[in-house]
Amino acid sequence: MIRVEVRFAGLPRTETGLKAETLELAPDITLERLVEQLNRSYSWEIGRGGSHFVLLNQQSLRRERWSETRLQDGDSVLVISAIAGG
Amino acid sequence: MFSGGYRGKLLRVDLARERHTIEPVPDTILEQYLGGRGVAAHYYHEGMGSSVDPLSPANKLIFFTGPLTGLPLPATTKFQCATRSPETGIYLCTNSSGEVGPYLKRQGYDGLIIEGQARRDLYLALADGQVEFRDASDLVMLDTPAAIKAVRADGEAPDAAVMAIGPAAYNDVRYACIMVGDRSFGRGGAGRVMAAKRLKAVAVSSRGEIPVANPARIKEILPAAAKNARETKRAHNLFGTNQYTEVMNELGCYSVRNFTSGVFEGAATLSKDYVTRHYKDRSSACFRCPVACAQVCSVREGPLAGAVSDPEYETVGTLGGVCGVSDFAAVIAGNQLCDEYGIDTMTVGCVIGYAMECYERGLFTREDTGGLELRFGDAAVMLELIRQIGRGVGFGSLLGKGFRELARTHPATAYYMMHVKGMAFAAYEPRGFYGMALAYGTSSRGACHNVGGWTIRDELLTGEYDRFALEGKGELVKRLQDTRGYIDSLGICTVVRSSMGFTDSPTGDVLLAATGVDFTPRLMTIGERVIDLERTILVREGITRKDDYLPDRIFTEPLPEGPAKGRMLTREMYDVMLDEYYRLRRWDRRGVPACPTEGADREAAG
Repeated sequence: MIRVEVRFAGLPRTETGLKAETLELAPDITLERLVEQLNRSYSWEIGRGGSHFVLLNQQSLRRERWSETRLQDGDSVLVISAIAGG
Repeated sequence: MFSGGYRGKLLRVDLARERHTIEPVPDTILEQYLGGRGVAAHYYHEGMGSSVDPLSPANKLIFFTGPLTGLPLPATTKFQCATRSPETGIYLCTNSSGEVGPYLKRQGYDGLIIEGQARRDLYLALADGQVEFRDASDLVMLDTPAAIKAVRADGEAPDAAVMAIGPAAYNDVRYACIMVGDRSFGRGGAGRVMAAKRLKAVAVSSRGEIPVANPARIKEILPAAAKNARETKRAHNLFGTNQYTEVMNELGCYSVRNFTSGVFEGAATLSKDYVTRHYKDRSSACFRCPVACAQVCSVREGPLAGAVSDPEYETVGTLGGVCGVSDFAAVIAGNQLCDEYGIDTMTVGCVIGYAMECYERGLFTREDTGGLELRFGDAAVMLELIRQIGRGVGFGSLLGKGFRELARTHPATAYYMMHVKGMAFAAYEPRGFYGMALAYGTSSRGACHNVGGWTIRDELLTGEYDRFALEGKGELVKRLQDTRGYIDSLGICTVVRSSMGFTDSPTGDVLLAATGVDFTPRLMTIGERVIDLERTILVREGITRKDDYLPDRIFTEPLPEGPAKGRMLTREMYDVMLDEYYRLRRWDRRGVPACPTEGADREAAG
């Protein structure tokens, strides 16, 4: 198993009531699978036109790369809500 | 040519003679520059010499609405002001929400140009097509809420929209703002210019409706656009722009202790959930806005009980993060003081943060500060300095002069001034988003996140950019600035713009329905033309490449902690972005445009 920290900021922090949680995941899990898991857990639509986004180790990845991106032990995934305006 | 949207006239006011004229606004100017920021820049370019003292009668206040200002569409509240800034000494464009812009158009004017200096303290009243110069000798030192109330009472116009300046403008605060009801022309010191003209306020009454080319189509567009804005900006309604505080802190690019760090240990008590739980009273909307992003907050207990205001992200990031203050009650109180005195919250937060760092480093002493101990995190000192700045007394009278003047009088402290071209940073750490560094550097008014191009979303969420990469940032900033150039010329708020198709690939028929002319395919070209014109003005005023750099701290000190730890930009790295940006703009290596109508030429060339 690998341990991945999932952090929340913006609306996701409000909706989960969490600043962060650490998940134990299968060693071959991809970012795509983790996002699916998060979408199921919190009724989100990340990657399907919803207003929340994920960053892996502080970087955004194109949607098409999620399925080929295997998570590593110690990775950090940040879930944030859409940012617009300013 | 136009069958709606515009009124086709501007009101030119001569304060010295207390006279006014009404002039046509040529269609050709509107076609080239659209309205708002673009047309204001045109009149500035045509009517102002390169050596005008910002506080002299020769300076002008050029207010312009856009073709959508005041129309029955979402958030058609914006209007623009162009003037020569007493803070930066150069061209300034600044925008505000509120009802003055919409009411000005209802009075029959696209723009208002104020010239000269009055021989007495007065305010201007526009009602029923009349222009009155009314005595303001008893109003001068009133704070802005009291002044607005007094102007309405004096004119027996309880519903008039009023913009007014506060005591800070008369006390030579170079970044004094103009309050437009509870919104403001915040940055750059337009309020100080108004005080130099002895003009306390402008009151505009509502009168009739603004014609549109296709009223039936506007009626169709409105509900769908409003629904889309409400749905897509739900977080804005719930939390306002302060929703960004925890996100920026999480990314290690928050504005902390005069930009010495990107991570603030006190961010939790400035962040949206804590604020909502402890301080929020309600969401509040500007003119015709379906989103209502302003968060009205009050302090319910403690020494600051009774303070009420609606701090935006930038205000929280400067009065809070930059000053190291984690007490949100103090941010509410500081924001309220700024509104009452008429001070730009962003600049004052950065100036106080600078003073705190200089004091901690021994560059200012208790003798300089009148006995105040300036330490990061001291909320009481932050509030006291705002009071001193607003009143023009004590150490505050020095801080009120702004960075450009401070750099002249206190050159040994210049390294700690976080500004570009004299305008203080916004609340984003540029070493955390390299695109923001270029935006700060190339914004036409100084270190601004709006005019400069807000790169955060693209650098963070699209997957197209690495926020710590250099490549492509010139293209990104140019595209965002061009977009903003036309948005600011339309007369709508940027928060709702995409609900009407106004993005960097504009779509829809809103402008056709409003004006009868289909501007939409040309909007990005118009935006580019606005930026070229502004740069031409700046070059005329002495700005060149050397002025497009950030303070040395950004180029020499890596961020010390957090997710962006170790990140910095060298001048050589910055030059890569700046060269790309100039090349795409077709400016030469000094940052000089070929000609102000470059964008038009490209359009004609197809």
